[in-house]
Amino acid sequence: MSFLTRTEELILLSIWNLQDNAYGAAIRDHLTDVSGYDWSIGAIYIPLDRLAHKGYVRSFKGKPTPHRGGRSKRFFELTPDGKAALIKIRRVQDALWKSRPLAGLAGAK
Amino acid sequence: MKRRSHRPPRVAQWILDRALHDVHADEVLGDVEETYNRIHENGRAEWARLWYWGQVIRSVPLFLFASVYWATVMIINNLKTVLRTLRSHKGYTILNVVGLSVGIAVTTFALLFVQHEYSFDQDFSKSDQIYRVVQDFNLPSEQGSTAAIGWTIGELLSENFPEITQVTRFTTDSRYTIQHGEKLFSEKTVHSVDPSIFDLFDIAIVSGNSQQPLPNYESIVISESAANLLFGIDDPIGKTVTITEPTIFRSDLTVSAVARDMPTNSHFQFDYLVRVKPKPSDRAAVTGRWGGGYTYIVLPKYSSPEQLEEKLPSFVDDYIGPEVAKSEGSSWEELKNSGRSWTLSLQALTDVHLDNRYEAQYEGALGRSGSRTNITFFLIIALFILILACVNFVNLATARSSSRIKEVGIRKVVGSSRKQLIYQFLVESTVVSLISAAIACALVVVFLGVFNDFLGTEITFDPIGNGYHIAGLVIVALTVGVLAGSYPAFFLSAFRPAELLSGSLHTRRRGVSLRNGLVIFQFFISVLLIVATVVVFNQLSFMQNKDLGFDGERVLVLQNVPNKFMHAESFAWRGLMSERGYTVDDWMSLNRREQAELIEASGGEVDRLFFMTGRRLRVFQQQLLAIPGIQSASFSSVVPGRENGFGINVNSLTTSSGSDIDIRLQFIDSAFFETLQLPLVSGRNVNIGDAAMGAFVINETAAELFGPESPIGSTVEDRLAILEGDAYTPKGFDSPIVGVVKDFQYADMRTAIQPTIFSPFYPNGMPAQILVRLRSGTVSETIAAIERTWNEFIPGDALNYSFLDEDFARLFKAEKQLSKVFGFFSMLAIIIACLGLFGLAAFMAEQRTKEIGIRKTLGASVQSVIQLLSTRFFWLLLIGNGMAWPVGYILMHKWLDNFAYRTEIGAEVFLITAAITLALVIISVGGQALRASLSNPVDSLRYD
Repeated sequence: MSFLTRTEELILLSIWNLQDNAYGAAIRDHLTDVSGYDWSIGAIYIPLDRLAHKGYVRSFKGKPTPHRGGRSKRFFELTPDGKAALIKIRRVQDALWKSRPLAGLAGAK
Repeated sequence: MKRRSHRPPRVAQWILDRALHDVHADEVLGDVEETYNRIHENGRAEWARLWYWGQVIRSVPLFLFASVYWATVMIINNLKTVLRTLRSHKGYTILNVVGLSVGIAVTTFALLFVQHEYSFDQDFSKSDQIYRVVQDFNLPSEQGSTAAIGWTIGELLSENFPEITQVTRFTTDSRYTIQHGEKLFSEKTVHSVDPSIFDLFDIAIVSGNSQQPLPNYESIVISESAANLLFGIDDPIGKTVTITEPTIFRSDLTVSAVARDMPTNSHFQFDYLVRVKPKPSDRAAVTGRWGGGYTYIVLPKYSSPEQLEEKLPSFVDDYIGPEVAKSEGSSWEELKNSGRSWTLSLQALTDVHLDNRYEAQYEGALGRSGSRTNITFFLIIALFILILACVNFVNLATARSSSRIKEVGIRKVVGSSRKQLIYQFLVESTVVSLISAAIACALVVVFLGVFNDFLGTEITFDPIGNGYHIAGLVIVALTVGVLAGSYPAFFLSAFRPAELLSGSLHTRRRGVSLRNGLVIFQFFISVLLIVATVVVFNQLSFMQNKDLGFDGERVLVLQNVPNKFMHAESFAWRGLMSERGYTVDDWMSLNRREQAELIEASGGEVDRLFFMTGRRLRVFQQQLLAIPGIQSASFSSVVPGRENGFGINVNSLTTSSGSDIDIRLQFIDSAFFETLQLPLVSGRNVNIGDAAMGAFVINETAAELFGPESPIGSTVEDRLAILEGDAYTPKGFDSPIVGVVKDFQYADMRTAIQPTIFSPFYPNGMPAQILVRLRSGTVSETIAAIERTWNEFIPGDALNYSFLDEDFARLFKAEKQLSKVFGFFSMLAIIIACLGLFGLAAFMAEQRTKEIGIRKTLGASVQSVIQLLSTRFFWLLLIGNGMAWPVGYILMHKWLDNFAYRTEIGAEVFLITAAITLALVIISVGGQALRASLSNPVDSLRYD
């Protein structure tokens, strides 16, 4: 099994963070808040599609609401595979960060 | 909805929606709108709109890319499935691919042929502006349609109609001998042209004088291939070529230019071009009768030819009418009032090849001179062959549906939509047809040579380099794939999974009626083609075996003899002329009356060329008769079976009963009937004592016009006008009929035997050909002796001869070719239909293995099992035959109507057809049935 891409990882983490409220607009807002970078809709949904095909997330439809032009939300949640993938990448990162802590990098910029 | 005012920009929303084109589109749009609304509610409406557009511009490329990606993934997935299916059913795949590749190959040939035919004369820079002037005439003495029109018409037209920007004319003569040094070629065609022809037909000059390719009458332009033939690698420019033709004499011409060969898809083909000399103005000048020229005019771009055509009737009244009136002996007004006509019309250059009304000759069913009927015919049959192959695909696919039903069911259960299933089956049929197209491509490349030889064309096929060819092939393959695949796709995908898996579906019944219909259709087409083949073949053998009335087996036709004699004579004659101070060109520029006056003035010392040649020919004839192997030798104005036809003139003659009849006149000598072994029915032969037009023998068909009384002793009166002084006056003769000769066939079988009168030659008149009847036994010695005698008269020239019966057989070329075409197509149809039947039968036998096993265990005989499996096909065969017979009968009856002498379509045609198709069914179905019926029930029932 290959590693998640960075985008995939960020999206999975957002879904995990948002829990029951993980739908497209919320994920975008969340990522924009956290990263300070304005994500486009396409940049959210295309990796989401790919994650769905890989079986890391599953989705279900919510209720239509008026301020969405009468359209419903599609909520995403992590599958066990998705969670496993997140844990796996976290472990690798932890292991890498442990040997050389953040302190030494601070002076770079 | 309360928040109408907050609607996001519509166009942007629409674009996003289109780009998504996905099941989640709704939610995505909702997400964007939610954020948009939030920004909007913060009171930054303009900002919100900008933000929305920004999202669209950034996201759309991503979404589009993703959809392409997923579509590709799906196709690859489908292809994998399809290849797996095709591989696991190898037998069916092979049946389909063989059938479809043959079908696509045939269609490709048909399309190449059509493209070639329609490409004629399209590529000249003035193609759409050039028109050929043609004429249709209906006069008491002659009727016809021809492109050879009056020589001066071109000039007269451009004088009268200023809208004509250019005129060019040419005549052709195929009796030239071309000579350079040691190299000599006879029977070559020389075009005498107006210099403007180089411009009209974009004739490219490769070397030599490109400004003025034909600067004078002493120059000649030759084609590159002629240059190769005559000069090899030497530079032809400035070299001398001697051309000789019987009536124009001999000329030494200087090669002024070499021109590129005309493209093969032009009706205008040449090897030798000389400048046309001014013609003496005689009666051929405006009517073109007794030899006209081809005339082309150029109109301004985008101007319509109809405007000019409307003015042509009054032009005819002004220039042609008076001339016609003179030769017909009544005024033009009278002639028109009695329903006679003369029409000039304009034929677009691009129509010349396909509109063959104005070409006299048949060049074979699918020969050089094109015809729209042939194209349609070829295309329809090729399409039928292709459809037969598609039918196989449909039949095999639907028949196999029961075995694929589990596949479909499971696919549906795991969530395939119907659309996806249809898509998958279409991919399957398209893959099969693309594979077939690739094989067809190879077939076309391999058989292109045979195809070109057969049609006499030079069609090229270049699937790699020629974009049109590859595109055409792919389009054909995709069309076939979609057409053949769509029924099975819809048919198979329509099953409901519950039915499929519970087994409650009567799979065997579904699609059966369509399949039966298609099998009947295949039989119908095959039977039709077989009927056509048999009828064409019957007609061919009928024509070959028909009693022609004469015996041509040991009759030798000495070709071109009078022409060569005349040519030899002309040197002597020219010597005499130059003694008198005239050159040949001087002579040629005189009209006939002036020539006659000169001959008169010479005091008879300069004899007429005709007369001298005629006299020497008679001496030649006497010497031929001295050869022991020759039974008789005859001169006549025409020879049966030769391309130049029969009648030299069609005259309207008045019989003693007073009625006018159209009749052909032919000059013969007293040996003619004996040479052809034609018995006289009554009366006597013409003999030496009879003067020309002084006594006539008529044929039986002409005798019938006289009713029950014997025509012997009746008189024939001439109404032919001849030139006397300045005017045409009826010559008039009134001579008795002395004998009636048995009818004989002189043209192909499309033309009925015409009433004909035979007159003795004028003293020393010029025959067209010489017929020699050989005694049996010593043929080769006799021919050698004839050649020796020939060389005494014409030294150093080879004698061309042929046998009359072989000449005649050549007239059936068109029908021979047609019988081959039909034979070939019906063979293909049969092969493809058999493949389909074989597949169906094999499948049915396989599907009913258990049933047969049980039947056999219960005591069914081999015979009854065979019956069980094949009865259905025999019924279909019967229906197919029953439907095709009347259609075939009607179509072929219509074809036979073209022939004056024709075979009847008898019952045997249909019996043969039935027998052939029955044999095919037995071969393709019977084998499978037999195998199934002989199988050991233990084997078929063991598993389960």
